[in-house]
Amino acid sequence: MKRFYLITILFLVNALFSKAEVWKSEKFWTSETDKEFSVWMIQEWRKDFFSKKTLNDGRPNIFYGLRLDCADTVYSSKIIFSYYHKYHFAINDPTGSKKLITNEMNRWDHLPEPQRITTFLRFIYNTVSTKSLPNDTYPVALSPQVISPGMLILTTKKNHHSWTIKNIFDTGIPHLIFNSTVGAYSSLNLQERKSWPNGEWVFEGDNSPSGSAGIRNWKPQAFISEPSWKVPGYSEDQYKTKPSQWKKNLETLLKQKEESTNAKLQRLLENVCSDIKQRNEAVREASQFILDNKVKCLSEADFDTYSTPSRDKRLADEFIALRQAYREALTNQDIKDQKLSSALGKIFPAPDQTISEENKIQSPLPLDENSLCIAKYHSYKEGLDKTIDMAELKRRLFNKALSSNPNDAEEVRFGEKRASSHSCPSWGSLELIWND
Amino acid sequence: MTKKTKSNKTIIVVAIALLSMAVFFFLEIKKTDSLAPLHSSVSKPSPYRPVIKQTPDMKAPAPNQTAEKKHSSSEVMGRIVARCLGSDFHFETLTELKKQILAKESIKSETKDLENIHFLTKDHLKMRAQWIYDGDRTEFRLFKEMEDGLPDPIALPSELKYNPDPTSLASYVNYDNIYWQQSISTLKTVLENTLVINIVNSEVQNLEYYTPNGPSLHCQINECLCK
Repeated sequence: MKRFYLITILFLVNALFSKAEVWKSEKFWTSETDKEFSVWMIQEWRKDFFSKKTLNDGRPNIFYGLRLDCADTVYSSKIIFSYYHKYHFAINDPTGSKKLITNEMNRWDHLPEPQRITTFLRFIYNTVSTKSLPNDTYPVALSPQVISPGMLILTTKKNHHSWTIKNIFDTGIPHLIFNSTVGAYSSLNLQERKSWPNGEWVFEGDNSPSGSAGIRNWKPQAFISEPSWKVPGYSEDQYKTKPSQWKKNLETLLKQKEESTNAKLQRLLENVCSDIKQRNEAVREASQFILDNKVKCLSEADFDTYSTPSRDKRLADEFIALRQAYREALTNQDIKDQKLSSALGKIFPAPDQTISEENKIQSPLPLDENSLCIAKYHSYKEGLDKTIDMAELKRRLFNKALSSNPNDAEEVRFGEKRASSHSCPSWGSLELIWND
Repeated sequence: MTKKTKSNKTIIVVAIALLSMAVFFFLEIKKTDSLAPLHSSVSKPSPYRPVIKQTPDMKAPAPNQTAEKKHSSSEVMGRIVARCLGSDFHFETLTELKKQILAKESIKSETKDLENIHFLTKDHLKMRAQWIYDGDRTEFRLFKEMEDGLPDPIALPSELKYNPDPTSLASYVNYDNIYWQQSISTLKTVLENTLVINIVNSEVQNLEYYTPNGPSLHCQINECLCK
């Protein structure tokens, strides 16, 4: 009996005092893991990763409802893969201690495991940023043997943005999953695009290694506390090409087969449409936030969450990429699909001129049989919903009529009318600048 | 008292003691895992992006250790630096190397940003403040240091999140008792070269020097690499 008591007590003591890690890791990350991670990214990392309530096998998705900004998305991909596959996870403490933030943290050991991982993720989201990424990653060589899914793209601090590389197609085109600044009203869906971002935007302000921009990989475990330049595979290749050539170089380098003109035009159209839809969501979220909270002017933090200057710049870049591909296709007389040709003709009536010149000859474009990617917004002044297609949105965007300012009404955000005056403060530059 | 009763009593006493410890242990955890705002540290207002003087509490790197490492590697590092930047340059300390570079080139622009500070509140709580400079704005973050030596983020009012007003910030940051600080200086030269220096408690920890069409020099305390 006495032995029974002792065993019970020892068991209780063990249960009470053993410190549970976020998850128990069984192995360390190796170069083989990089390949495993790439496969997982291709198969599992989707834009609905945090928005679907149940997994394919019917089990509840424990990550449902988490809201992530761009850096959170990048860190999440590595953390969640490590959690599912029982790998050790470690990053540097961005607040300056020499300690590591790892899955071995036992701060949350009073919680059951699914809650420990989601609480750990929330802790990470409140601790990391695009600023901490350079310390946990290193720039890689521009080589098809090196660049792979699971790596990430980082901009300079001027544009403070990052993307995960979900996949790289054999045409050299990537599938990127990312997110933007989020608030309580933001969609749970992540965002996606199928093209490399514009190099001039990625490296803006500093195209030397000190800017830390470009494609980067996670530091291996053995080098996690070392500076990036000590990591095997560290390369300054990306800083030796002109930012304006970075995107083209990547596509050429990673291309295993030629993308057909039709596939290219369809992909670029899909990118533009995806950006339009994401912008619509952002504008709607801002309107809803203002309505629900009955605020006249947004605070700086809310302004940052709901303004869209970077999205609008990216949308302009996508239009320019599509226009260039259309121009090349026309030169090569390579558009076989008549419907596609008419739709593109409506968006770009004068592709051999500059966008500004083209816009001068365009008058407002109503919906018709050539309309693509129709979006809806609410005109508060008229009290009704309005529709706009890709061609008209492009016309308004390059006429600098769209507003990135979240304090503006939807009809102003969509460029139907210009803001008369701004009585609310605004932060950062909202001016759209593009290079043809 | 029989032997059996005595050992049973011992077991019960041990069990009660362990149970009390466990309750105390759990209460402690509950106390530390919240994101509660901090109200305890109030100090004098300080200017935004302050230049902070070193306080006696700051821990400088152990001089003996640094000197020893320096001695053993200085010859090798000297060769690397001379090969990278030219024979006029020599490696003694990173501070010295920085002076040599600045003596050679005129500076076009310089930014010195305070990145992280660790400080004690008036209640002797260990805290950390972080500034994130993103183009047009500065984000401010505040953390409590936990027993595991890692930060615990503190929820701040939204007006403190971006470009915080110095007066409001002073109710959260005790500038009078900073024991660790990190800043990064970025210098652009007229020759379009970039010098980035990471300074911890007035000591240069890392130095990186990039030339657009030439080599890059990376150094960390007593180790350099030329790319």
